[in-house]
Amino acid sequence: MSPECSAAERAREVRDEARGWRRAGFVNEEVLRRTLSLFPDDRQRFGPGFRALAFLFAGFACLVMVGLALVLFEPRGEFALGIQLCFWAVVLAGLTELQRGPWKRADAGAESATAYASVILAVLGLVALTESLPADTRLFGTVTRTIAVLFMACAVAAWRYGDAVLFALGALSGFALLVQTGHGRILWILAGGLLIPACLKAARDARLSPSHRRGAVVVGAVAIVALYAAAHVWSLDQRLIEWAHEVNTPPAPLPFRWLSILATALLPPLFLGLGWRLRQPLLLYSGLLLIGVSIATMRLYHSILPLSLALILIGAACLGLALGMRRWLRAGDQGERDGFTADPLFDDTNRTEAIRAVVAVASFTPAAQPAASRSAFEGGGGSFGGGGATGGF
Amino acid sequence: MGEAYSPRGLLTSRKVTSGGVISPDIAAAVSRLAREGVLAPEQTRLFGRVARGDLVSFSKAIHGLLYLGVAALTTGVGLLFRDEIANLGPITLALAVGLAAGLCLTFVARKSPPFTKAAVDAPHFAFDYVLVLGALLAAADLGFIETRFSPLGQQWAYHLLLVSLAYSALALRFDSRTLFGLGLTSFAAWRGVAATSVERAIFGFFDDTSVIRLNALGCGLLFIFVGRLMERHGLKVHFEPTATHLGWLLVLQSIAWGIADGPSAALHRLALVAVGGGLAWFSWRGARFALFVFGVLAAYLGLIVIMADAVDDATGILFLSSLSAIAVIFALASVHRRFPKEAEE
Repeated sequence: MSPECSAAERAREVRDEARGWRRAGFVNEEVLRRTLSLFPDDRQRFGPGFRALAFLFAGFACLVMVGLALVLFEPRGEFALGIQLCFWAVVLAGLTELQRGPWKRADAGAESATAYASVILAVLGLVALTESLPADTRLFGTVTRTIAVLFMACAVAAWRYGDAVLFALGALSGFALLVQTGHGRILWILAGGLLIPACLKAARDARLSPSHRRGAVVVGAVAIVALYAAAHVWSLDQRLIEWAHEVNTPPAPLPFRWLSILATALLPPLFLGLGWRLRQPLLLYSGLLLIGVSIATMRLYHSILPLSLALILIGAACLGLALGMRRWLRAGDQGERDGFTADPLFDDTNRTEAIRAVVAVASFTPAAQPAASRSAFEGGGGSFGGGGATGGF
Repeated sequence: MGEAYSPRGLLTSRKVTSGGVISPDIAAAVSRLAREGVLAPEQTRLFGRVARGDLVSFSKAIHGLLYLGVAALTTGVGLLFRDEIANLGPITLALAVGLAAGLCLTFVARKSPPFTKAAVDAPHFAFDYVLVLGALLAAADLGFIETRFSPLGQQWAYHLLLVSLAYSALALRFDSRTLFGLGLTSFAAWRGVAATSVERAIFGFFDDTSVIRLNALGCGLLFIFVGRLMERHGLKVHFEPTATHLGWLLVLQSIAWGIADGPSAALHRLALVAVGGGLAWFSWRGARFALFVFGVLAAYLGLIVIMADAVDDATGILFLSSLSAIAVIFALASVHRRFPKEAEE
């Protein structure tokens, strides 16, 4: 990612956060205005709705244009097709660079559409090129080659554009590639075990741009799912990972089933506990979600109750847990426990007493304008300061 | 709220983190803003804690659990009706679910402030979830009673109208947009079911598809009218977008249904372009973004189908499609400032 794009992303993150402070009523308009002027954004951006529309139309235009070129210059053979597709991939990558660079576009939809189209065409083109090679010179089967090309294209594009979808696709194709080695399960466990802490660290690395940090969270989430899936007892019993191998191997008995049962039961609470301890939302939410999956797995093997009653009990438990969790957090010392609060933080739907009280602080902000209906306090005993206050009260 | 809670908690600087920062750019920005005198110390402390990950909100997880709870409970009750009749008996089941729905709605009625025409804040953070749960359970119970005991006989489809009216009444009384949307969709479902079953004789001249299409068009126009009425009379004005959006979706869908083939396909295509274009134009002038999107997509769909029909040549169609899509992108870039909420700044 270019330094200009990275700087724009950092400014954008601060500007978004400042708008969140304002929406929640933590700061007044003046503080927001000064924050936005201190962190200027030179990019042209669309809101989410326009972005979606521009993405749709740009993606449609790209694919139709390539289709038109293929109709006009009909390729003869896989090599010619591969060359044409790769040419268009390069053209669209160049167009993406143009939009993100000189045109200063970000979050505008069209640049994402051209980036995705470029990746898709690059993958199709490279696969077509490898297919054109003589059969005895091809290193792997078609599936493995396609996954490898997809992994490489997504990894390069994700790093260049910092796009979360490309990070997710890259991570998924990376794990799919590990399956093709024939030792998918063990490699998933190893890769998951290594990637999770690395991604959690990268997600907080100030040297990385915000989109790369978000990408690290996405890859971390994929790694958590992969680790759990590899250790999961049902996936082991069904040989799910082994069956995804391109070359069908005869089913062999898999060892350590008892270890897999233990992992299915213990991994989710471990994620939850670590998430609480390290205050990592990714681990926390993964833990909560996977606890549900583990309970469903237990029911799959030992059906204690009819499904209807089990669902009613689970529903009631979820409601009870939510209400209990909120009450417990709010009853903690100073309205929080271990740095966790039940309240939304910078959200305009926030209606808690805490927020209403903190809103009062906004009026004492140095840049705040005194309310018109109140006369200024002009006591001679000193001035009201704080945070570099400039006004005398 | 009635719960013991000290707002000072948000302002403490107690550090219990594992190290590192969650939003390093924001943490740095908060320090800079404090240095430049933009933020007061209390604000700096709070924003810094959040940016460093010293204070994390569990709110989303709590709401996710509530949502899951409502979904699991209603699905479980649906399965209960299907699987447990033999064991528990239909009357026991109907009474049990009715009791659960009654408990939910009693809780809501006791917590709710008096009715006002304006939007009101939810009196409890789980208020909407309990209201929706109660309404869904009551509707499921009604459906079960209708299936099992057939009190409406041949006119069974009217139970959907009953559900729709009950949802809408609850939505207005307890200020729930979710229930209002459910009320509208139940009404549309009633029209679809009733028109092709109990009211088939009334629409004898049309085939089933045309009957559904006409009813969808009628429902759409009615919803748009209801939205306008609510806005004009100041009755739950924040419900108006729900009615208007659903109304326009039904209108456009009912027109788009006829563009593929049939004797009036050309007329439908022209109508789709005209209605979509008109909607886009008026919503652009009124700065209503969602309607603008509906209009643009509908008009473009109509245009593409007309072009494909007129050109009848793959190269020409592809050329015109790409050209028109690029034109739309440039048009979007030039009009997006009209929608301040959709613009970044």
